[in-house]
Amino acid sequence: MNDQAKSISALDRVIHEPARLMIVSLLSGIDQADFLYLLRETGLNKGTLSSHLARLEEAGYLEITKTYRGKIPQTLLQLTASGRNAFTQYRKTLKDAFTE
Amino acid sequence: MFDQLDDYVRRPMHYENIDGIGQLGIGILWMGIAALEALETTVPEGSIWHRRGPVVICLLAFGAIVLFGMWTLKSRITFPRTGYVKYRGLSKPWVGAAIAAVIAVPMTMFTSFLSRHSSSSASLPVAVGSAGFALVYAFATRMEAAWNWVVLVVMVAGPVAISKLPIDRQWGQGPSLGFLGLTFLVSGAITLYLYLHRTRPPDEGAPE
Repeated sequence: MNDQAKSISALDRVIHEPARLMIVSLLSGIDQADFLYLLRETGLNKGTLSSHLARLEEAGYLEITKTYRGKIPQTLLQLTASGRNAFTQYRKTLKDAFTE
Repeated sequence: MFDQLDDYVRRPMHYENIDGIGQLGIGILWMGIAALEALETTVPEGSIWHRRGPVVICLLAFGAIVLFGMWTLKSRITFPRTGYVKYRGLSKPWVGAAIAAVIAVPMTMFTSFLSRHSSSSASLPVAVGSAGFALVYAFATRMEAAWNWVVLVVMVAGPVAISKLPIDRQWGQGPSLGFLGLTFLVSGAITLYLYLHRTRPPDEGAPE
């Protein structure tokens, strides 16, 4: 296996999935966002978005907080330190793989 | 692929100006400052409005009211329609406002210096000031729509044209400042109208 293939195989599979990569990218530059914002920006449907969020939470990359805005339920989403590190590492690995 | 990733990383920053509320805030703030300048030039000598303290307190209170109004509009309109975003570190909106203030103070001092020492007319300091505003506008809107260019041209040319009008000199730079504020206000109102037109009202109580 050459170096490029090794680099690609080392990519974090949790983040590498396109929808989750989109979610993590969007959350990486901000402190937190709500479900509605991600729904609109990603173009995913509620069920699909929820399942990807659950997968990220399971990996310890995402913190999900259920709260209320007035009487309306609000789901706040925030990348954990581990999630941010994983995304930084993912970008580095990807860059290395394509620039070698 | 890297470009696409960067685009997603930067997208929340563009979101801050999606509704034009920031421009409305800047517009109202500058129109208020212009009104204060006009007030200062029209009230008699010895009036409270010629003292630095009350003017600064009034400006701070006005700024706080505008910020509160902007936050209320965001909470009532933007967050329920297209979602809530909390920024971090240097990307927080108030950091942007602080940087704008840090730039604005020396620029105002410079334009005021120019207006005192410019022998020909008041056009030069006004041109410098409006060019600064145009930069802030271009940065905030990223010139995403064609009509933003029209606003930009009006923003640069309008105050200079006003400074050439035979308006009584006692108004100082109030008319130009007011015009700049009005331009931001109109641009913010157009952006807000388009935002409301393009987005759907929220489904009250819809589960997430």
